[in-house]
Amino acid sequence: MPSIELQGVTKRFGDVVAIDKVSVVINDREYVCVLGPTGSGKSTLLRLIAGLVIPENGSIIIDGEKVNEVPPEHRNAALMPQNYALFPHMTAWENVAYGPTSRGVDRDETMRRVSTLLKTVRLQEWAEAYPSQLSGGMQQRIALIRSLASGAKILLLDEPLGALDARLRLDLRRHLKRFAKKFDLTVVHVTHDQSEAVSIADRILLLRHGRIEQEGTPRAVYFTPGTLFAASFVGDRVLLEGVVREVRDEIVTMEVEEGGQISAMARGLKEGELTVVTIRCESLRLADHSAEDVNNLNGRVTEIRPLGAYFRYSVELEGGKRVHSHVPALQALGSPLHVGSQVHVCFAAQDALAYKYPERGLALEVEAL
Amino acid sequence: MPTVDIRGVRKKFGQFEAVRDATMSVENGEYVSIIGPSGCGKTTLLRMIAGIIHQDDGDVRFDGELVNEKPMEERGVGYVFQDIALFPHMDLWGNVSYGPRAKGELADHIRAITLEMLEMMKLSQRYREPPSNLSGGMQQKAAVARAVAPGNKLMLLDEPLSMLDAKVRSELRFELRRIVKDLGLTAIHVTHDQEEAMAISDRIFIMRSGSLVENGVPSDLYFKPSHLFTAYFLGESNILTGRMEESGDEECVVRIGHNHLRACGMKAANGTKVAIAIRPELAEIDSKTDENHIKGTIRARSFEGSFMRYIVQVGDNAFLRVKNQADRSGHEHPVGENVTMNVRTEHVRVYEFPAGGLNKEIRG
Repeated sequence: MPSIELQGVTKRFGDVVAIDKVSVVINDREYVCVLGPTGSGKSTLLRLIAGLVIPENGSIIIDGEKVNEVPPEHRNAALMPQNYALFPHMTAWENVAYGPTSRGVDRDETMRRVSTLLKTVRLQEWAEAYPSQLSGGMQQRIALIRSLASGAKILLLDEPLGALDARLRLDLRRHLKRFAKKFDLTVVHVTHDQSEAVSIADRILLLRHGRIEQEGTPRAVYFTPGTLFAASFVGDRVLLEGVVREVRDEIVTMEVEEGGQISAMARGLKEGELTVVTIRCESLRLADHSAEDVNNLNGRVTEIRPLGAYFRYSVELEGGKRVHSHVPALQALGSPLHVGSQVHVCFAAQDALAYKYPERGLALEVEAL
Repeated sequence: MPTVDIRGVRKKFGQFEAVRDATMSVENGEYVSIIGPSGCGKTTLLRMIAGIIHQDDGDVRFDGELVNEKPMEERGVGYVFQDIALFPHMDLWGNVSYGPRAKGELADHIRAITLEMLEMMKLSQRYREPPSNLSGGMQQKAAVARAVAPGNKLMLLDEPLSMLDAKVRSELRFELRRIVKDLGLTAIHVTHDQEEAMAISDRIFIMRSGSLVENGVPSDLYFKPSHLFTAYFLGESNILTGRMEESGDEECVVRIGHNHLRACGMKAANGTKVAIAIRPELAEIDSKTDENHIKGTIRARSFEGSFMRYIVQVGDNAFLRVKNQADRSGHEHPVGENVTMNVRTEHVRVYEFPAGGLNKEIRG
């Protein structure tokens, strides 16, 4: 039962608190993505679990046993660092066999493991190749199975796809997940890429300033972000500022700078309060006539960019603010809208989530750029 | 304001042909990108345009003038590197004003242009700060400002966003395009990220194994790629094997598994083995189009944020990946459900079956 538990774990580097009283349980065979911006503490969290850094406070428990003092090689956890380097003078086979051999695993068992692992990543034909003869994606797969060859059931991945081509990254996401399930692994995967986390994880831990900002299934984090930061970090969203005029149950009516009133979902907001409402770009529909039952803002299309699976329409609202609507390619290809079209930007109250206006200002809170 | 003309440019490193016979033209004020997998030669090509390395053969012209013999500093190009290369010991002002100062410009001009650049990048409030105080995205914008400040009208950008966080990267694309357009620059941008290329460029050049495969405006390349490799590399495509059943001037009929599909793209004798590309988001489950129906069974699905991904079995050994919009209600098709998908004729693209096999053709 390879599970991981952190209880009130804190790690400082000088004056910087990299991990701040983090408590979390990662279950047996769960695939968890730790998501956050640069400097949020993601890699430190992973290195704490691996045993490469030691916490000042709190406990790290693996398989029910406190491992604060246990060295990395005895933790049942294998770390694949961001800049994994294969041994250049060894073949793919020798790279993978290195771990078990140096730990005294007998020859037959090593042969068996290495051959199974190579087959799983479909590189058995490349066993005798040297790293320089392998493509980036192949090297990544060798590095992955090398970290598992010692028999660890917990796999710790630090930006495992970061060094690869964007195209290859998409293909390997699915392979990683399948691989983890096949070997019954418990995985902690660190990434700054929200779409990677959403598409691969059983559960996401969103990290910020060394703390867990939100945790939940990809669907929960994506559709019901608990904070303004979570909303701005996960998915592409439009942010509008306004003042709360009326509160009724979970629905607030607010007046926005872009003209008129809109309804949004919120908890804990009071009349007269400043608020920021966030709407996913794909939930903004563009219509040439206003719709009832939903929010409408008037604007003019200023740019249309096909981005592949969707088109990005830029719309300048009354007052000059620019918002972006993501329209699925099939709809966009048949749409009569063009640059200059007057449009109504429509969205349901359920797709608009309002948060209290951040004390330190919007720009700092969402850390755009 | 330059046009760029490249004719028959080649470069070898030892036995390795990094660039073979590259020919391309870029118009004044155009933002183009060159995309391709690692090792395809795109950075080598960019460096030859810059004059950082010299071609073995072929010509590079700016505004019609041959620049083959000109060193980089006389070509009037601004170059932005993948690794942000600001002077760490200088503040932002010092970094951005460096080029005009080195050229010996008048003090008034230096002040004016530095301020203009910093304001354009929305960094003027932070002009006294060293690069290390700024986020990665801000630093890369400052690097762009520094490259433009000496008056360079041609920007060459080598994977300028690839070191940044995904979130920052996707926002900076649009900002970079805006800056280049507002300043009236010509830009050539090298990237392996197809989304970035779609978002940022007026025209995209696809490159593989040292050669330029094809070029076009983003939507043409994406929806009507002339080459199978483009269909694979630019965005996502299902690449399937099928047989030609009927071929006419405008469209044809192909068979995939048990399905007969109206398609377009090429002519071939009946029975010919062909490769077929269908984009996952252009196959819609349960929609009303009646051009093409594909029947299949959902074998897997995953939530990927703005869309659901389904893997649908459409034949004994044929699977179709389909991306359809997700919604917050969670009413999606379950695994095991038999579904009918619709794809328009124009979105089923047929290609000659590659002689070396599919895998070799698309993955190299």
